[in-house]
Amino acid sequence: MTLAVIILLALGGLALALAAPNFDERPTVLGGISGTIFGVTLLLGFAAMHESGVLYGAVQQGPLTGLAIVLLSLVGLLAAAGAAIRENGFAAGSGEVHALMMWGILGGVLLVGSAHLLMFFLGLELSAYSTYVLVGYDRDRRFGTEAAAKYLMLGAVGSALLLFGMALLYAETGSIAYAGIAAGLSAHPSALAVGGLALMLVGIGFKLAWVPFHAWAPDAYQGALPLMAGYLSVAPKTAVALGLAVMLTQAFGDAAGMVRGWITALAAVSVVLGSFWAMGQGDIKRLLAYSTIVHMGFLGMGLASGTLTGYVAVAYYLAAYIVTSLGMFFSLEALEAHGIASNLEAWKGLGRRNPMVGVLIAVFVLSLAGAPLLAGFLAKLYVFAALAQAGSWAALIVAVIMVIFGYFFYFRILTALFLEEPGEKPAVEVSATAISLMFILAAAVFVLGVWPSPLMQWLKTAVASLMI
Amino acid sequence: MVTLGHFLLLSGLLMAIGLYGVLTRRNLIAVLMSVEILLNAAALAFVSVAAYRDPHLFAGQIFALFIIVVAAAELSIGFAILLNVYRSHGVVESDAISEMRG
Repeated sequence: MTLAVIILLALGGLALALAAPNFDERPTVLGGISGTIFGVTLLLGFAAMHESGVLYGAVQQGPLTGLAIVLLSLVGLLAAAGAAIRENGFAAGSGEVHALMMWGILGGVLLVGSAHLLMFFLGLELSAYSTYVLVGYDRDRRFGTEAAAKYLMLGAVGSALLLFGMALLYAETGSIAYAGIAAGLSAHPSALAVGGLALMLVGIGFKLAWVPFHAWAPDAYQGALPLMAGYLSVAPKTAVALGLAVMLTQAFGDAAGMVRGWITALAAVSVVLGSFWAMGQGDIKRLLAYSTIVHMGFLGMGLASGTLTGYVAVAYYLAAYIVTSLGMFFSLEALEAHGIASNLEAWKGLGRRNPMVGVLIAVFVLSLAGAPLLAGFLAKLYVFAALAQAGSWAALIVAVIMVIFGYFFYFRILTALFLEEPGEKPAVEVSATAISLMFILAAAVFVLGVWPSPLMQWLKTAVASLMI
Repeated sequence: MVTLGHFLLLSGLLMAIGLYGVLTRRNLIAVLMSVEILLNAAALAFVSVAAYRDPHLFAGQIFALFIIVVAAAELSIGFAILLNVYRSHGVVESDAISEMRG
């Protein structure tokens, strides 16, 4: 099944890219094809969870790869649906958008399933390249082009550092397979191995936008079309976070404890500085970029706890973040399609100009902030529980303080939505497609927040395979 | 006697040169060239480790081949984006692409 998913995504992307010019007038056809393929891979993902063994020595089959296929296919499915918000398609062609997203998801699946460093690297690059193109996709947006250039330069430096780190680990252990590397690393590794691990973590930190490797994120989010920014905020992050969990448990052997310490430090710095920088932002996409940085910090704390509880919390966090963040960016996409810019000034009184849209956006913002009854609250709670169980009290205290601090910058959006006077601004109309998508995602946010036990049970069985 | 350490030192130096280029060059094409130096430094490290540490399996050599292919893909995307930068901004200098401010 894993093999079928890989082939389906690779050929599906190719078919979409080739068919694209014939469907310029009917972009929804391409979205439909893309959505169907992701629907099929989503179901295949559930079947893939019962497999075992390693494909061609390169891709592990198993519950975790299945989980990655399910989560990433969900992202793909939602993003394909989200493309329908722009009813006339994208000016530069719609088929390529779907193709690039599909290849990006394929890269993510390979990255999580990788059994050695080469496959990890290829998966990471495949998922990164599609995002470089997607960020700069609309050639007529000055900011988009500018953001794509910055993102590509920094991303390329990140990959090069990651590669050099891999080479140093290879020099230390004589192997690029996860099992061989784990066997060659001790709890007190040599300077060579420490350097290799540190450089690899820097490369991964670039992709997860941990401070101080986050510089590309605000520009990329602000410059990209909201749909692309939404994809960028969930697809590569989900894949890299799960891939890092696999590496921590299978590749780093006895040195994993040291790496987890570094991750805790990076995560704590991301949570604190990300929250402070988010305070001063007037552009909502920039604000959401810093919000992503903070969320990736919380996620990193969960990863660093190194327990089953921690990894399950990370998986739940990713699921919650996928529905919340995509919902938020779909709202931005819908508003931008109707000429409302993504800044607090333009959003003044939005909740009064269109109460339905205002309430739906409020659900996503509250979930991002971590308000009770919503998915974002439980996600943070599970991470905190994992931190407490692992005895990381310092990280826990920092995290709790920053959650409370985070309420302030999320409430700035809510204040603009509901409390400020709309003035002369006209009523806001949003397409039925956009409203129904936002409604489905808001419902998902709510359901995950009040009834998490089936999902948690399922995640536990999937993630338990990591701990063997 | 040339050892693995010498090769790793050389690729480390190339890495430093590439990073220096990325940080100091104003012209974005020169930055992309520096990125190429960075990627080739990693490729050199892989082949030298393969020669000294792993003479029977060719993992390092294969890795280096993949790096070359991936670098070509990366730079082709990079130049496509720079072409767009030139179209919209008229120059490919890093000062020109700093209009966004938080």
